[in-house]
Amino acid sequence: MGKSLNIKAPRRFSDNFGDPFREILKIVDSFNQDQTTDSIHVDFKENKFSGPFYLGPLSSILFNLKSLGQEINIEHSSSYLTTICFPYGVQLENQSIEEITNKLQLFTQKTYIPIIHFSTDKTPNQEVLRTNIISTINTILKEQLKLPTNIISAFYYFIDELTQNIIHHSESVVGTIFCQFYPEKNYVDLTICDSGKGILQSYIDSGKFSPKSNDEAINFAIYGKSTKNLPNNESRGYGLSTTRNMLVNGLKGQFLLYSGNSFFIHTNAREEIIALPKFKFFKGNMVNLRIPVFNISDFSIYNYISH
Amino acid sequence: MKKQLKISLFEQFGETLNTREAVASLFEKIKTEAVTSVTLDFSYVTFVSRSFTDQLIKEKLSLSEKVDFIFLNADDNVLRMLREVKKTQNLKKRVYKQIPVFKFSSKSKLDEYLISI
Repeated sequence: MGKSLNIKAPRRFSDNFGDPFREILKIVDSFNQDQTTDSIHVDFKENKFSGPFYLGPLSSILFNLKSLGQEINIEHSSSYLTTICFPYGVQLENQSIEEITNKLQLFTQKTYIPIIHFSTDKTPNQEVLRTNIISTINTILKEQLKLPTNIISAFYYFIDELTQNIIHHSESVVGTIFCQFYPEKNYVDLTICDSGKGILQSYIDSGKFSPKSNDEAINFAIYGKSTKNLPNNESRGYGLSTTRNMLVNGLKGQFLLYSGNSFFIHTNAREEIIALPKFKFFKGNMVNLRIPVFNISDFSIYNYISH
Repeated sequence: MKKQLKISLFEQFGETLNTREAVASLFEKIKTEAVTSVTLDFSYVTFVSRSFTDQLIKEKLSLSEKVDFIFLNADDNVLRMLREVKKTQNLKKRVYKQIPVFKFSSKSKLDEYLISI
């Protein structure tokens, strides 16, 4: 019998923003310490509930490994995990745009967007499909959250900016999005991640700015140093900087970006980068947003677009 | 001879306009139609993303010598996004700050940090 890597989902997570991420770091560490496994076994038997900050990145990792031929076994009896389509996401292959839209719209009366692994393929068909998926997600969020226009626009903004980053920078085959609304806690947890080349490699490949480490690369990205050429009348490098500014300073939310062996955390109490040991290297990018759901009448996304 | 084209963006994309690719596909259609005037109807559109707007301004400018563009029924949200995005185009200097970097010498200290957030 071959060697199996066992991942056991914790019984429960606290509401703390960093707690699920702590578990993801453990998983990343396990994968990096031993890459000779024949199979991966994920055990949810004792887990009561997990949210996007654990399930989103874990599903992204498992989806990527499965596509590389890794054998994966998931053990759970949770109807929630089945409904959110953990870990391989909503079935998109060989489906028409109408079929996919209809399938997603079934979630309109729920409190979550299911796991979606969207293709980053730049063929016209995939671009149309992706645009439709994002529009459908926006429509569903509008129905689920019932927020005034000035606040729901921020959700549309975050999703567009972060998915566009994956499409234009990551060289990942898919990006992953998963979102859960907690009405009793007045916030939405949203995670958008990929298994691409990560921020540092993106700078290295572009030949721009020459960051010397993952933490310097993250610093550059957060402050808008773009890897793209900037022809006239085009603005680049605003996605991450405006998203975290809008979320934290505008909506009093929390932002985490993990890439390579560093992560950036921004809340109203802290703005810092943590450099991690080498075995906690994450191939790709992971962005976690905790978005408070309050009616802030004087909030406007337009105050954060050009900074 | 003048050839005009009117496009309802709501019919094309729904009430939220997202992604650069959506703009690129729209302008592919405009270029193949060989028109001299294009009306982009923003009726029922409630949100335009920054990336859509940035790409729209860029593509519009690239055709501006051959095609007249009219933005019809763009509400305040659309107009505001256009204004804000225009400010960011051709912007050479941006503020940069050094974010403090920390490390932890043990797993337990890192765990303590993460639980505290």
